[in-house]
Amino acid sequence: MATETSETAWMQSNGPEGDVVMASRVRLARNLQGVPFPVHLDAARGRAMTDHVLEAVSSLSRDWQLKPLRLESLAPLDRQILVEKHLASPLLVADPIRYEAVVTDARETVSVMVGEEDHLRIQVLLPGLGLSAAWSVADRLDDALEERLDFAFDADHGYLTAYPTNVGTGLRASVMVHLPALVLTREAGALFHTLAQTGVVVRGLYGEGSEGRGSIFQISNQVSLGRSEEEMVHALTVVAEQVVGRERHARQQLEKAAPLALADRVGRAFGVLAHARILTSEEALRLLSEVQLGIALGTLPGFREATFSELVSLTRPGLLQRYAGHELDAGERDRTRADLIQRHLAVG
Amino acid sequence: MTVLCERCGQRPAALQVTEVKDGERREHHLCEPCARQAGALLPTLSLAHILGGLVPLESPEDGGADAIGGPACPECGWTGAQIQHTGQMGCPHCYQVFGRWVDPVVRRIHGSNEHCGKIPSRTGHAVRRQRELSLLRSQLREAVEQEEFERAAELRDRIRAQDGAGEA
Repeated sequence: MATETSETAWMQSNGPEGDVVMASRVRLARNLQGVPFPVHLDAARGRAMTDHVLEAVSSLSRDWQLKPLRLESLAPLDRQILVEKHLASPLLVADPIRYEAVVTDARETVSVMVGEEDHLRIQVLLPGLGLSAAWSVADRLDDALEERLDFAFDADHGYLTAYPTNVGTGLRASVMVHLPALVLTREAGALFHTLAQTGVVVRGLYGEGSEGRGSIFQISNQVSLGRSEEEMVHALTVVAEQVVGRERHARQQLEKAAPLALADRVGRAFGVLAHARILTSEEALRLLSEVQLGIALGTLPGFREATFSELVSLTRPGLLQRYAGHELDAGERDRTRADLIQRHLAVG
Repeated sequence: MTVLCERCGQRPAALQVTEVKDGERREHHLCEPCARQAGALLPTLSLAHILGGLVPLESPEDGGADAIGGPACPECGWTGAQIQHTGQMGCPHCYQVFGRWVDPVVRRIHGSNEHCGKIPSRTGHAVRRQRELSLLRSQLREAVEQEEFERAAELRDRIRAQDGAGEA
């Protein structure tokens, strides 16, 4: 068996408001002056752009501990793992790979995607609710890179990006939240509707189309122009705090209104996870989510040597194969997943 | 069979919209432009839509159906049609070339056309000075309105000094 627990900081520990907020992410879109955006970049110029960016990265202070990975030299499995750890987007690692790269630090807190929709996407990912901290790291890395790279910028539009939706600050802040009680009480829909009217976007764990799996959602700002980065980060932090409050309230309500039904539900989920021999990724996610609710309410003991975030990620196909140390077909994955989860359940 | 939009009767209906009025639910089949006009699209949907292409938000007056016109970008050769097709600009310079069409879209997405955030420290020198100047000028106006003449004089001197530094 290869490395069982990951090195990835955001997955390893529970951060502030960790009972609801799994992770916080700040991403900055940056592009090089005078170079076409990736959508319009041929392989030769794309490679030159990537070389230029990686050269700048390699000249940064060693304190950043940044390590570049050229995607063309990575096996498909390793690329998939980058996506599952949220260090790269599915778009970046999709075929055909021409010149793209990902830069990460040792703790996988910082990543820079090179050649995705924009030339650079600087990303900082922290456990729990920590948007301000993530912004301040991203801001410093941006400054360091800007000393070496000419970023496309104009006074009115701010940082120029491939999509006009990202122009201005190029900032997207998001929080990954676990909202099992709001989903169970069916309050989530109305809450998201309200949030949508305040310029906030709610999506599923792995972007559009994965809505609500495991009651995990990503909440992010929609607008990137017309406000300062600090204002945006603050606004989303306030939204996240409100969502945390609503989820905790819903959990208390559930406990008060139907303690037996709730204990039964999370207990059943625990029972299946503890004894199932075959678990699909969807079933695992749903049951892990319910067990995590039980843990948060104190009905069930915590996971052993792993966090909810970690198990959610580790049971994805790519990381599961890394855990097994070899390739697995779908059937083998379902068996390995059941095995992995059982090792982390505190039974008895 | 394609269901046509019940409002315009021309474009295919892309959305099913549920209207709840006086406790009664009604289903409507609308195309995206009509749904947007009717205010039935949530911001998330319109964002996804904008990402898919600038088409329905295209004309300068915001509402017509003109294509993004003008010559291709002289720096990268990207055309208005390519912007409409991909929803993306070809290079940073495209923002100037296609500004007439794209700026209204930007305003619509963000509710603003003015960058208020970070300015790159090395290349953004001129922009930063401009922003400081305009801040000083608005403070000066305020000071004059409030009849705080001592403060106004001080601000005026600072503006002069900054302006002079710019010309040097």
